[in-house]
Amino acid sequence: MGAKPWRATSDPLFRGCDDGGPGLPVPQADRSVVRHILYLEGPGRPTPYVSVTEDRETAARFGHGSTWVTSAPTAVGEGFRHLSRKELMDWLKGTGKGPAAWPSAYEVAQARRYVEEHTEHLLDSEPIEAQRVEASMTAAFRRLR
Amino acid sequence: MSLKSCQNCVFNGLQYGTLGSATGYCVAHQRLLRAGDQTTCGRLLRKDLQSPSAEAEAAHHARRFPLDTIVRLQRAGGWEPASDHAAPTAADAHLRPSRAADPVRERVTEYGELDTTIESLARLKDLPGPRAELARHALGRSYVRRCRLRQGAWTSGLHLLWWAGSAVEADPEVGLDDLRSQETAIPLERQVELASWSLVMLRLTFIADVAHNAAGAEPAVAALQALPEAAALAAGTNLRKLLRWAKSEGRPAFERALPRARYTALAQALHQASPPLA
Repeated sequence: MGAKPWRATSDPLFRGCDDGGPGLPVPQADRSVVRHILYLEGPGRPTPYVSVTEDRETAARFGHGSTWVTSAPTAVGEGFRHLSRKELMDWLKGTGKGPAAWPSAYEVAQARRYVEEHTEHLLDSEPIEAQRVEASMTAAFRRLR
Repeated sequence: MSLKSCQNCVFNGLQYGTLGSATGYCVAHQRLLRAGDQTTCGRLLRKDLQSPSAEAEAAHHARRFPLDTIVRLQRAGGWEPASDHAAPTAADAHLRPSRAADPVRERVTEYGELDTTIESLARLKDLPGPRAELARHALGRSYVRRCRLRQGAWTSGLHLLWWAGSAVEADPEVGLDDLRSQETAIPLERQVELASWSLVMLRLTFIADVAHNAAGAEPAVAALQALPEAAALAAGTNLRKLLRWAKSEGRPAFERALPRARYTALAQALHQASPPLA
């Protein structure tokens, strides 16, 4: 792990994927952060978020074939809203705040654990028009291996 | 480390998050799990969720993945065959020595092979350490769920409940050797704390599972379903706060719900009754 704090202006964000690359978010899908982080409602469910991590090895462990990279400024430039790990950690307390509000404090705490363990950030596709999502993803992410 | 993978399933008592051993074991399929982070099946029941949410997710999962075989997860939500990721233990002769040298693995495998009896599960209680506790609570959750699905008595989990509740405030004392991997994105000390936190929460969700089965039969015990939520509200992901809450709130709540005299009476009735108490 890196000893220096992650910096939004210059440090990368990684995503592990199948060989086909990052799946596409659905801008108008359910906005609950806890639902997304806990992977609720089954595999392949629509989500407006793209999970990314500060740690390349963590991305590789989640991925099944390839690791992709972006950065907060790049993603924001392509229309995503960047929800940083720090913001997520601040929201995931008690029964959650903002888009992390959730009926179960237990599930909020589990989500907080995962955000911390995985140094997770979210890229929110909600500001992007549905027909532009694929182009924004392609422009934001670059394949590492 | 997918949350939908075998490492996060109650049928695998050897792995949970970063805690546990490099290889897992599925008592439902009686298979060694060579890559528990990458495999799943339609019977997945998540360790990290309380029973109602875990059951809801299990229903979603069962519609997507095969029930009778372990498959390899794909990130997009699909799957592919995983014959090289999960093997019958009998076919892995080279694993026998390590199994014998690892009493937790020995007893978990025995639990799977001996028709998942309470006796083999209870033998885990005699083993010290967080890996044994992980196995006891994970497999305990699968055991009391099976009792519930068969309309069995809640008291089938009585002794497991007593052991968990009697040590509800204990620090699991996770050490570096208890971690599957030390390649973490956060400081190792914090990783150890989070592994301990996860194990204490698993302890509480196991208690809540038995309490869920007691609804309608033993209202005082049924009230213990609220423990995981109360703990999370009080402590968040702070291990020290969680252990303090367990000592000041959790243990007294358990003793009110199941005083020793009531436990003894139920245990005696359980011992005399065949089948167990209705």
